[in-house]
Amino acid sequence: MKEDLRKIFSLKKQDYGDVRYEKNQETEITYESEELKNIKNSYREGGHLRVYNNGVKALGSFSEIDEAVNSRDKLLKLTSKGADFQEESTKLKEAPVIQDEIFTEVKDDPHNHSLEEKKELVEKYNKLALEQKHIIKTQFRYRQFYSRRYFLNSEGTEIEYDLLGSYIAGQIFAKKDGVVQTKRISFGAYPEFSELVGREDDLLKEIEILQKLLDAEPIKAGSYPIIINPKLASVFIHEAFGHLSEADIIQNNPAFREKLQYGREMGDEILTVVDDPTIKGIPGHYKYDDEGQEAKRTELIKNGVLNGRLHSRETAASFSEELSGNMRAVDCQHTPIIRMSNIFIENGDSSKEELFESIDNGYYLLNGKGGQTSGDQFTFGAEYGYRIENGKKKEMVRDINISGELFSTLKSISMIADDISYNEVGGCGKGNPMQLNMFSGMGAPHVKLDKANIGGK
Amino acid sequence: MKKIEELKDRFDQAELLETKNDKLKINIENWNLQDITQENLKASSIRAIKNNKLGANTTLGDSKEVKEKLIKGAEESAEYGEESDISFSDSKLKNSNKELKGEYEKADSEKIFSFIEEIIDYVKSKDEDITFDINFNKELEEITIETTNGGELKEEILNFGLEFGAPIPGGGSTLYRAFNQKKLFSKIPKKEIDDFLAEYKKAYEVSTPETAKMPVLFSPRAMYFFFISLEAGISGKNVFQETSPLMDKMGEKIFSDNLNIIDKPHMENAASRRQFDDEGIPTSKKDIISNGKLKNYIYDLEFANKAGVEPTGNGLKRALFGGGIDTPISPNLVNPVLEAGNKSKKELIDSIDEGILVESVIGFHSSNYEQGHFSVQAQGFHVKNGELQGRLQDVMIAGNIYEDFSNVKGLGNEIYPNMSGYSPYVLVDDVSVTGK
Repeated sequence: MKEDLRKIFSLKKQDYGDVRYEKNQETEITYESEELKNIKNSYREGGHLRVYNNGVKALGSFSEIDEAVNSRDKLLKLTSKGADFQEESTKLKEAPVIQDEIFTEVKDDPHNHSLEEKKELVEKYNKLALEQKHIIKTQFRYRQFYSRRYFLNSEGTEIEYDLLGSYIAGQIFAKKDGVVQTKRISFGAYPEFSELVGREDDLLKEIEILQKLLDAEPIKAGSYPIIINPKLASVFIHEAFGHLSEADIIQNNPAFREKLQYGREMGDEILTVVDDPTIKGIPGHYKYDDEGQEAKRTELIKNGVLNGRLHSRETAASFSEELSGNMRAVDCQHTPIIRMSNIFIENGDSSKEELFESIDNGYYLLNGKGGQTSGDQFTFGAEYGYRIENGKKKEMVRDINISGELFSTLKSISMIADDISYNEVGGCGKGNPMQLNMFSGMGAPHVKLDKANIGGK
Repeated sequence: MKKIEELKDRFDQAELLETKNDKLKINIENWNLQDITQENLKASSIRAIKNNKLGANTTLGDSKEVKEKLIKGAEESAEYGEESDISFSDSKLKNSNKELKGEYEKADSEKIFSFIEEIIDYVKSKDEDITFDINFNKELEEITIETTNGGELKEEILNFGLEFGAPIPGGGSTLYRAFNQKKLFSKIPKKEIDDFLAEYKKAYEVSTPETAKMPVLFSPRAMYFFFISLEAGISGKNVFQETSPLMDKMGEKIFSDNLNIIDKPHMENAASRRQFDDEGIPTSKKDIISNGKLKNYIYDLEFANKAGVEPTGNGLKRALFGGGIDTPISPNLVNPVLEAGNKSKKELIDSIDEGILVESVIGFHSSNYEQGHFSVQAQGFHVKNGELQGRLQDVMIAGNIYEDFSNVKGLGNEIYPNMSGYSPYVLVDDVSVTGK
């Protein structure tokens, strides 16, 4: 295989080229209520080629190695057609040539557990959930993904590496007096399988919250001071800020590039935001990205000031900034795009109690429930919350969506607690076609925002 | 040996779905060529029953290793699978059109580049200061299904897609327009470009309404959230599992009298058109909502079997965000169309004293959308006395489609595609808007 792939670029027909060939195994087990809906070990094999020539970038995926040379020629032809059209040529940042092999170190490899054992584990959690009061429907999914990747480029870089992760994600539906509420559950194993075992108590705690949600009141729309818990604060920093630190999002948007220059004041000096793929044991850990670059820690906001950005070789050249190693593709049929690795808000020096004491009338909101960004506008949901009155946690509220504009919202962060935690399971959708990346981690401590817009009737 | 023959030897029943695609995508950002994508991919999916137990597997690729793993994996899956008494399709339907490959090739990159250039020149002549983006693609997809029950179906679908847009000044989201066609576009959509640029000019200023209930004009592009909520409501799966808010509402009025929604799988030029679903059941035109009344639920094989009804040709490998060969089958609308009314976009805007035009919604999936709830950020324009005032900022709309869309005051006279189907502009009265 390697010899065949080396041949693609041996004739130096292009200015730059790279190819990534993958053999991917995925295990999925899905229960929906009492039924086992899906149990399979699927296999995907294929490659992705990128060619830069005459200042034009052409990309292509192929199913068989035999097709790769043919695919390269098609791409080269397209680059010459595109060249007439192109006003500004695309350049790449110079990068070191790397030859390496590196594979995941794992003590409790999910591959050493049988399909039957995994099925029984999911079945056990599913059954436990179904036995609880008011529960009308469950969805539990085990997903295990192993990707063996081989990357080479026309400059001599050759890297063989892998990705391994598993998780159990559930959605539980409860119904009472015609009201249906749902709650998500997620247990992550990046990469240790043992992390998924023995989680019954965690599951029951989540179900208890769901049962209480059935009697909670919808939140009242308006603008309030809020405290967001680590799970929600991490979704917030990922959605609202993280995507705008991905240089490909703003590369061709002059207004944004102007706005997001290094040195811009983004928030109070208590705010530091970091992207760090070198942290092991959480979803966004890796050694090399899918463009052959070494992963490294990037301080995106340092003491309130914009300080770093996530780059590909192309955007690093365009912005004249440092490489960051954040080009990732979810699967062999996709091209790499710039993604966050593990993004998190650094600990502040307040205690969680101090955050509460500072609020007379506001809300404590918990856990992310999906989010979306569009430019500097964001919306994300919270699973549940509590009203805060004179520093005290009061009754539970539900149906919570928060929206806003990035810059003013970051500036309204006035207190950060010292209790950072990282989400067990990551996940992020980006790109066209959409690439859902399970190797995306996030974390945060409790955070207070002086003002947030909450939707509702 | 033919694959299906091999499957006959190894399973009691089997279904093999294979897809092959050729795709070219050209991406223009800020007037400049960003990248060109060209892909050829083959994917396969098997569902198989052995000893009454259902198994499934999927693969991407075409090597010998891939083929072996596909069948072996399905056998392993069936060992553990749930008992099933469904029968795979026995339909025969070949809609093979050899000319399509020729048409795909004929629309070569030179023709496409010159079409894109024409759009760029036209837009530049009108407003060269905006940041203008274009996404163009052509795709030829071949879908084949064979079953051990004699099912043999094949369809080739050729699509051309055009999307152009510009980020809202100040850096917010993108305003865009989208079009689909089964042939290469013969001329550039000047009327739509003009409408787009006129609207865009109003985006430089911010104008935020006071928090109140007011008329909201949803653009066809924003209406996808409505289709996705409704689809969850009429899904035979959710009805059977008793989580649908429409489970006892068949024949009842659930929307305004003027709302008619039809699933039109054979609509010419629709990108998601299909002659048969991903289970080899022929698709057909179906009333979903007639004069505001609920007319049909949609079923795949599994839930039709459970509910004791006929499958409706709506078993598709689609999911909230995309879907594909790995996505399990579920009941989905093939190509929902909200039928046009009789008002122009201008007439609809003229009729608003104070309200908003919603071009897109952000974050609908964070709400309990399966129950019809929405609580989303609205991107679009503040409207006063029939005039666009400026772009919305920090504005949310919230409600429930089954309450708010009983208040539809007007429908546009043209339909346009969105992420789920086709819709005209839809004017809804008395929606909760959180603004200043």
